[in-house]
Amino acid sequence: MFDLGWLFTWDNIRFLLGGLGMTLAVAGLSIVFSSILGLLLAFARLSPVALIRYPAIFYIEVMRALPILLVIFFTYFALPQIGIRLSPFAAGVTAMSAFTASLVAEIVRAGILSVNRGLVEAASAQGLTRVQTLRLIILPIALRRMMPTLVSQFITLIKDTSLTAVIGILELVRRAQIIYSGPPFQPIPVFALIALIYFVVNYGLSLGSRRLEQAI
Amino acid sequence: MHWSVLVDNAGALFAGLLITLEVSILSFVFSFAIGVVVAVLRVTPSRLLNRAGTAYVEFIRNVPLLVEIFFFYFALPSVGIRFDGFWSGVCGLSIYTGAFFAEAIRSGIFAVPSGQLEAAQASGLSYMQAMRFVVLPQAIAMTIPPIGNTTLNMIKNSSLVSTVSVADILGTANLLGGRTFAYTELLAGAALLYLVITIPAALGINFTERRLAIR
Repeated sequence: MFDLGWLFTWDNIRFLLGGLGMTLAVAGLSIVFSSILGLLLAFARLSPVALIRYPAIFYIEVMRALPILLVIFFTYFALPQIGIRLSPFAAGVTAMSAFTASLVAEIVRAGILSVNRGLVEAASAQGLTRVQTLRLIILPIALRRMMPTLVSQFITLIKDTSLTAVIGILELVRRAQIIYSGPPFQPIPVFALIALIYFVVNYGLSLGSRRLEQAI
Repeated sequence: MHWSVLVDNAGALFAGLLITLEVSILSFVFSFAIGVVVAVLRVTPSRLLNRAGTAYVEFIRNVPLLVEIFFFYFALPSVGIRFDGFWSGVCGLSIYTGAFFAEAIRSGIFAVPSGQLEAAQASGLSYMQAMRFVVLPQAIAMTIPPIGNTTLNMIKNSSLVSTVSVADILGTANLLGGRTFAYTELLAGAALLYLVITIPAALGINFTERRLAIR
């Protein structure tokens, strides 16, 4: 059992690195899309117009109260029944983005609301328009404050990409399963290895964000 | 759309709801116990225990829950340790959530400045009185929001047991979906069942948070 030569063959290493690439591709795209959608949802929720505000509140509150795995299944199995057919990859990215956007929206909203009212008033007293105040005063301060929470949310997202294995995306977990399903049929070292890969990526990210925080 | 499929399978979905609650309650008990033990490890003066607690928290919370559940279900049988899907799910969920509870509890212990205890004692309160009336109320107030949020996430995460063929809410919906092809209706029904648990829980946490903040 302690001879792990079979696991660390060139083929297996390349296969698992490809899986890590897939994990990071799903995570990276979902981070981009959920950030954009989350920002829009946060603005919508803070809008004075009820017709914009209430749909945003509804979306955010329902989405974040659901298990992400259900959202993934819904995107992959239910959407085709209303004519929207997505590949596993597209379904995975769509589901993860749609779900995480609701959490990003709440983080952004909290960040915006944490900015001192006096600053906003001072900015408009200086003649800045609403949009200018938001872009030049509120967002830079809010963004810095929400960075730690946002990073930990994105680490959660990276972990959650493992769930796309169940709809057949060949990311780390799925590839690990393929490896240990063959001889010598030893899952423990394979699981230990992918757990280590996840740990290095995610712990590295959280250390990096802590450094960044101190630097700012 | 065949919404009648929800009525026809109401019994199975309700049984799924009970499984979800069962997994959640068992995991809450175990993970809270793990959280208390690990939090205490992390505040003891012993360097070794300290490190062990930190290693547990940092490793477990940076690895996907699915990997931890699969480890119990697919990996441990290779060394003769066999858990069924239900207990693999409970074990994975408890170990994972335990790391988050540990952090929540630890932050509460450190959140009350030591000056408060000293000031309370200087005002004539005994140690026990100072703990009871000054330190603990604040420490508990600090930990309730993160404990509540972690619990809520744990309930949602319990849906992962469906990947090791447990018929919880999501597992039941999936199973019936495969049989009837009414995925949209069944998953929407499953979503509704989750919302029935999670939205009141979230409101309850918010309410407690606000009440404790006023005090």
